[in-house]
Amino acid sequence: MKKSTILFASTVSAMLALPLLTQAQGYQVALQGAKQTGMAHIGVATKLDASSAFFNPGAMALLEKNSISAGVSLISAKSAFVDASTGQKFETNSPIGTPFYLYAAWGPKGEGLASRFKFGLSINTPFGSSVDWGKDWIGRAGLTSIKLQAVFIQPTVGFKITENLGIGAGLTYMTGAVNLQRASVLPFPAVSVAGGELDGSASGIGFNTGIYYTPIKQISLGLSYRSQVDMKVTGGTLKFSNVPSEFQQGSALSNSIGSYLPNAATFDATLPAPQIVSFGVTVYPSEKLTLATEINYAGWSSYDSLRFAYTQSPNVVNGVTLRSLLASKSASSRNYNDNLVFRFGGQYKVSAALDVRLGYAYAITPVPAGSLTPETPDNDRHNFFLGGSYKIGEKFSIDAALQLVDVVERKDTSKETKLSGTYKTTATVGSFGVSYSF
Amino acid sequence: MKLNNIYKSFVATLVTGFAITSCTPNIDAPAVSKGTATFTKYVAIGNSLTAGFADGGVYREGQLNSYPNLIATQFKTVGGGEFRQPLFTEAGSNGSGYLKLIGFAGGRPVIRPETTKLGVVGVSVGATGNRTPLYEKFTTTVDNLGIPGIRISDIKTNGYGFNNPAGFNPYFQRLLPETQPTATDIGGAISYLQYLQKYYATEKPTFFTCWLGNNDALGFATSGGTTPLTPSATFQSLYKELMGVVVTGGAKGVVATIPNVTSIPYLNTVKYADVKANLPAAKAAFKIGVSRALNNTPPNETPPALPPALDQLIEGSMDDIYIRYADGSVNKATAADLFILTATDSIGSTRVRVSVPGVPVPLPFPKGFSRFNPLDHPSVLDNKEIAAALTAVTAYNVAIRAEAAIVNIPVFDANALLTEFVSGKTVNGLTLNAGFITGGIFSLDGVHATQRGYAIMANEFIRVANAAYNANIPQVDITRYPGVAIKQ
Repeated sequence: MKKSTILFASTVSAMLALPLLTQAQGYQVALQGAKQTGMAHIGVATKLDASSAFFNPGAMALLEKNSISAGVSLISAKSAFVDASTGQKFETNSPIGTPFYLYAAWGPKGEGLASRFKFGLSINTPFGSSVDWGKDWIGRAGLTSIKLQAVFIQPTVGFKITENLGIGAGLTYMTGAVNLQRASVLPFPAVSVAGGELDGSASGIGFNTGIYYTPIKQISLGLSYRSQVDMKVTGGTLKFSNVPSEFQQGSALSNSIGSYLPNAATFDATLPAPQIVSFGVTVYPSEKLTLATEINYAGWSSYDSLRFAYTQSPNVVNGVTLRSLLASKSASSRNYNDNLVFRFGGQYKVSAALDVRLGYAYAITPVPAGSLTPETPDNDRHNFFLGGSYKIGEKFSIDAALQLVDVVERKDTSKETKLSGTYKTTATVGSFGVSYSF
Repeated sequence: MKLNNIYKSFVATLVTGFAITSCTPNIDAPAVSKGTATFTKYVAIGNSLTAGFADGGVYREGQLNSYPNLIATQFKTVGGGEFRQPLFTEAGSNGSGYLKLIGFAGGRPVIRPETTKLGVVGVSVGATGNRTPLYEKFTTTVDNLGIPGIRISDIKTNGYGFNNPAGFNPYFQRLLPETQPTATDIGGAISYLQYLQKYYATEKPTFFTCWLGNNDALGFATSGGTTPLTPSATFQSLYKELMGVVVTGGAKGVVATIPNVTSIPYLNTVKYADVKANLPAAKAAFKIGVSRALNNTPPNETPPALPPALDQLIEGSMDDIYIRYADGSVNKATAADLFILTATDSIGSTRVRVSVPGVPVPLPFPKGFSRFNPLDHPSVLDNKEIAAALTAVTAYNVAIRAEAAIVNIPVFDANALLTEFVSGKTVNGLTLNAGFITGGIFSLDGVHATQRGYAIMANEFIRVANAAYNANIPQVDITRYPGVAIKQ
């Protein structure tokens, strides 16, 4: 119990730190359970512990025990960019990402209708991003850094129809924050004179539902659907830094030619967390061996553009409203495609206390040619997984996993900024968790 | 116990793996290569653009970021050698002087000349009393042979750089040794083409860029059609001779076409519609002034209305913007006429008084706002002159392509590049266009490039060289070079 207290405390502190990092496709983060991560993040057609509240509420309904699990991952990712025209190489210096999860599943024991219900809670971070290219790189006019943080809170209920068929659903509330920074926003900058920063908190709602079926003892099937969550930022703040006095409100320039940068402005924006359909098949060839496969279909086509709408206080001089250099809205096209991820994994019970896991996943990028941007330098990915669990006693388990991500090198020219070059990203992830069943 | 050991070693593996794989992603950048050309000795031939002329002058900072110097720096990645420029000294770092944007007032940029720390060492007074500044001499061999102001029609002019009363180019003069022929023997003084031949004989360049010919059309455009255009046949025969010299010793290189001289900010910033918008106010003020003068109205009283005949005369003469054509005729301006950037200095000026029938005293009609005081011919490039300039540019570019093809030298189409930027072009997230001050690529003289503009030109020369000679020379990062900045 003491250990779990410590782990819970460290999870809470991780929540406070919170920077996440692009870890699946787009800005999706597939690190929602240390057990699942050990076997390619497969979890739709398995029922390992309370994490089923997130992976498949239908599987949660069939859990034999009540369960709590929690964990955190450390992501060390680095992207590099080689500019096509100059040959210069730039690298991100992004902070260590720390996505986390906390799951609980509980149901009345005994017989009767009540015992067929399971109640669950999922708190995790399935979307997020943190990329920092520095303030001096070649693409700084488009982006210097972005940070997207989102916590998804999902109360869930599962219902056991029969001993081998469960269904479940949950309501998702998302809360988070976004911060985006760029340089050189002025019309005739010297070299890099000013910076712009967008900062706001986001929220959204959605749902999660799933069905889990075990036709025979050696096979389980799972299907889940997580709805799109529109992460809406309302009234975010827009700040400018290092603005030369000529461009400030009330300056000689703004008063004479009627252009200025507002002292303060707010913005609204929406970023979609796409809908995801997952289907999985798990087979159990022997008591000790589990083999699982899963396919995820993510509706990234909903991310067609990144739009910002700005509200600013007008600059009025002598009754004349001056024109701001900041437009009332901006839109950057993204035109993402829906994408597929294929996952293959296995678990082997070495002993009563020790499980070891292996996995591989291949993800097809949702980012089309011309839309590759420094904020999401994405491409098809190879993911390699290794993990294990060690049981201490009957109820307590320590889980760990290692993931290596290799994003295939990709050359692209942004339709918007015309930045042209080759991106390459690699990441290493350590996931650590605990679970307790009772 | 045994299982515990297995688990410990498993965790150790995880942690070790985490540590060793947190390394930098590797991208194989395409190998830098010189291809089929040799870049060891580079020479830049050209005019003011090649010299790094910006903001109306040549100054040290502009020279350091001249496109030939940027190209030479990139050539060093493929074996390029030292590139020598006739830099002004630190003490005379403002060189010829240049224009500075110090702020904005009344809706207009405030532009002032920089007159301190000049590299001017004297002055030469010509036959007509015209004064030519003499700049710091730089007589050791240089590799940037850009001479501001030089035309193709000047390249065989003997004494073009010789200080003599008939006139000379001071930027060429500063590069030539003091040992000059006597003033009575100008014919013996070196021409630019001879200077190039001498350079080729001693320096044996392996690679050149040649961008000449702009001034043969530019002078016509910026003088409102006053300075004559070089006849295209003359242009072509001289360009042929030039090409014969630049490929001496098998030197490879790139030549550039001439950008459309009518799309520069110098001719596209002061617009007919904007000038005309000021007409009603100018007319009203003029009428009040005339009435005040005729009636001796005290300053604190409103003068009476003008007599109907005079009022009609003024109304009839101030109904549009008027310009004087080359033939002396006075015509209404249209949106198809281009006003030079400095026309704003004379528009509305009342220095000239004009006698009109029925009025006892000459009247100071505001310049340009009345048919009695039209804008002078040099202030406007009218639509016929625009057509003449375009015809000349097209003919020159045909000649450049033809003569370059004969000596098998690739062409950088600077004309096409400027056309792209006129409508606005985004480079690495920076939106650039041909607008005055705000566009980012044209400097304060409205004719020459900013350092960012020159960086773009350097990249185009490199791009053409890469394609023609199967080379891979990296370009420069244009975001590192300034556009127009406000300087105090």
